[in-house]
Amino acid sequence: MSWAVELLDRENGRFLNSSERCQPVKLSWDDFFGPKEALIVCPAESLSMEDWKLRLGQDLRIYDPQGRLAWWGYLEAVSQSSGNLGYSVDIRKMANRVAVRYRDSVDDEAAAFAQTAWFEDLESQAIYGLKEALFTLNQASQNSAERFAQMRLAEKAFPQIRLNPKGQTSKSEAGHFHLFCKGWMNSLSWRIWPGVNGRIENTVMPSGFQPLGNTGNNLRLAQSFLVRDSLKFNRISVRLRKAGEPADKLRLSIQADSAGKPSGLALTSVLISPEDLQSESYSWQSLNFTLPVELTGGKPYWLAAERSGALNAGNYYQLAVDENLNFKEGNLLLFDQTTAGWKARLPEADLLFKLNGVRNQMAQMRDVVEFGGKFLRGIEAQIGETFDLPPVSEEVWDCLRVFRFLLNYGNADASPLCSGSDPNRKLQVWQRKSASMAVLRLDEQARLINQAGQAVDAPWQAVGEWIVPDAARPLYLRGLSLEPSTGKILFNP
Amino acid sequence: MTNLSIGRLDLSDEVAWLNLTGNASLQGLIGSEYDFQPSEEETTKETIKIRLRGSIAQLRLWLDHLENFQRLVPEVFLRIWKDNQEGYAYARLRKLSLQTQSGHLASLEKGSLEIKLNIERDTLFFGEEFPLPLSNGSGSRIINGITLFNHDDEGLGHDNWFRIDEQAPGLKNPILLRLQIENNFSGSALADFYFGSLPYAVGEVQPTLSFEAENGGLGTVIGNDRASGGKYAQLRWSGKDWQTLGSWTLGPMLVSQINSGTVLPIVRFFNPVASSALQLRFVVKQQGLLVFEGAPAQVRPGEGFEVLDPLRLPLGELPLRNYALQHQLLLQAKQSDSGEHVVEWDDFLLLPQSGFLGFHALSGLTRGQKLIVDEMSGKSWSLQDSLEFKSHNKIGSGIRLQAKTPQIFYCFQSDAEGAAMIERTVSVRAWGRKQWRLP
Repeated sequence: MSWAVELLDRENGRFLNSSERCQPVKLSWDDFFGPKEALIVCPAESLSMEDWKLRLGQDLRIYDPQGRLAWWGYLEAVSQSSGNLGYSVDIRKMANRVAVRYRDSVDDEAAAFAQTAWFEDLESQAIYGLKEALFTLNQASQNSAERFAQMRLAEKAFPQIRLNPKGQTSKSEAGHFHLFCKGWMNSLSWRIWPGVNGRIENTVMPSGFQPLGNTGNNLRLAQSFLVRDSLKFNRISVRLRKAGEPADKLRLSIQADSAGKPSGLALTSVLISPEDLQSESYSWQSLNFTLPVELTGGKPYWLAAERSGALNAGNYYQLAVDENLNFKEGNLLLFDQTTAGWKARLPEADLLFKLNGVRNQMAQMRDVVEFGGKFLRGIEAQIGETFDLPPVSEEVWDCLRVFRFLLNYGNADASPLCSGSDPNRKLQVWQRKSASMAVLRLDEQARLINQAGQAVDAPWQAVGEWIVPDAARPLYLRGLSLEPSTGKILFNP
Repeated sequence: MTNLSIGRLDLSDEVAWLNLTGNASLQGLIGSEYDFQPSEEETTKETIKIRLRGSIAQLRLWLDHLENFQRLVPEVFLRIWKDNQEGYAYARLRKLSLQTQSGHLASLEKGSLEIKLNIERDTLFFGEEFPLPLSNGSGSRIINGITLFNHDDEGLGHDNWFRIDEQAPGLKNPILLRLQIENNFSGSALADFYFGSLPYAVGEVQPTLSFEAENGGLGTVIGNDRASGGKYAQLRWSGKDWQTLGSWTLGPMLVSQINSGTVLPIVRFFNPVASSALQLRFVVKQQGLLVFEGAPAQVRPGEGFEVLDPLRLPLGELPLRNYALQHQLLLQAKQSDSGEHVVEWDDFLLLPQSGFLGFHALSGLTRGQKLIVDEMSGKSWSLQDSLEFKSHNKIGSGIRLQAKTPQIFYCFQSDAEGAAMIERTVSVRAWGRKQWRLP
């Protein structure tokens, strides 16, 4: 056996350990991570546990006897058994940026969780890279939540060498170091996705109503709102009823802001028919825009409403509003025909409305990798058409979970998607091949045979391929593990 | 009588060896009995009985020496004098344990002792080291350092290979090799480099495994003195599909010489690729039909060369009672970013892997520094002014020299910036140790 293991500085590629006696024990790959996990054994030479501790998170590469880079990732944990003692150190639970979500025990009316600011240990971040943890407390005050966060940061900012019960180490491996490694894709789990809110809404109980189009004082109505994240908005809802039997329709449009007023130019619009409305009660009406509209994060916009026909004192529309002003990021204006200008409603109110945004699946995957993939070098995809999806709004998921969630949608052709980090640490995403493209065969000795009839030297390259067992239907190889010393392979472990 | 010793190879003779037979041993030796066991396994278990008589101090000295060797295994060797060759044969000990007889303590006090050494040794014995003559276009049978350039073209001495002719036609076992590679290039230090070898039959044409881009039949051929053969190829294309960069024919003899072994393709760019979205692969056609697609390799942007996935040739695990059919080898590129793609490349080497070593640079070798790789010890190290240091991390299966056939060795060199300039040179010396199952 002549596999080789190299540990390099992840930033500049410098060697951090050059032992030629480290050997891989077990390696695995799959069609989500690419290189997934590695277990390596190294003789006790010049490095101590303290030395290994400083090498956690660094770039680890494994070459096969033919010089092929077979596995790549980072060092996550090290353990050593010595006599009756075992030591270990890891960065699995390490966190050098910590925050706490809590339900405020002081504010009885607080239904949603609040979150403390992030507390950071910059020294740890400089050594290991930024690694976040978000804790949840069901009841806490802001002070106690912040105290909790500071304590967790102090406890977890640096990996600690632990004393463990003696492990299951063979006599020949006593004193050896066992290195546990993860593929670079796993580093996405180091950051908590901040969540993107795809809905802008004011959906409290109505506390007033606003007629539209029965007099010149309310020829038009407009509610402003602030877009937090750039999204494509495709659906709108308002709560309203009809008064009498209006013969025209109600036009809802999205307009840019012009000096604190609607610009007058519709970026997109939709019409509500009076037949869909009730006379007696206010109901939510939800419609898709004819053309979804891209709105830019950080900018204010206006939701404008007006009749498609003329004023009519007996047949018009009434929209539900919130006179308690629960909506903090906008205001309601009315257009007065007499003065030909916009004016504030009296008493002040906000419209009840919902706007739903979507973002392309691939763009969301890029966002996640850009945000969470600090060790990754971007993403490249060849997956055909993808969906517009509501943005992932969960605020407690890590980026790896969000990425997997998005990948699991497949593409627009309903084909499953595969992914993995390449040797340049760029994430690759591709469409799973179809069974008809199977070129590899599994012979009676469970050897993978390529299209030229040769045993495959690098079986991990078959992950993501279909293989044809003798006299059986093709099966998809989503992953495999390999023990280099014995050549033992487990398919789809 | 067989002259038998155990000891170390890394110390001078006077202090390294404990003779287990003969007069030149420590005082107290009455006799010994070596239970030699021929074996076909990789290691062999044997016993050596040693009978001692003398003062307690003399016996204690024997025990201390033997216990010390026990601790030093596997850096301890069994040594046998070979009268027929007037030299020693050595076998590495993998295990050594001392076994005493019942009544050991009482016997020791009375000045008499019998110790049984239970040993497990490498089955093959090896002999003394001797220099190996090396040959290429710059000279023949050179033992004081042969120069290898970093390319192979018509220029005088422009060879990235050397040959070792057959050493012992009757010898079945391979020769243990020690190579010394000295960087004698006055420019940038020698960083990553690769050695690969291929034995071939006596009387056959020496295999040629360097291929020029300009002979691939595609792209624009541009003349330049910094390119191997004085030319390189430039290819421009658009789109995201695989694009063939060139095509070469591997003749029946060459394909057969590789003999179901692998070759490691190393492509040299004339100008490094800027994009990180470029992939390269080799595909093989036979009789015009595509029969094999190699795994794609992601090209590292800014690097002057790329190592591709090894190819096993000839395709299809042939019995090779006759020569294999010629193979058409196509180099293909695929680039997934938008716009026009450009590859300017110089040549490629199919580095043979019957024996293979790669060296990844820790610090590299500056001019005058040497790297030694020793198959007997399994170690590699570097020297500056006779002081040892570690300049490279070794990868690969190791290189062995076939005793009864000529063998060609190829080398590919690069510097710390990832450039693989064709004018780089190294000077190589080699030594060998013959191996026997029965010494």
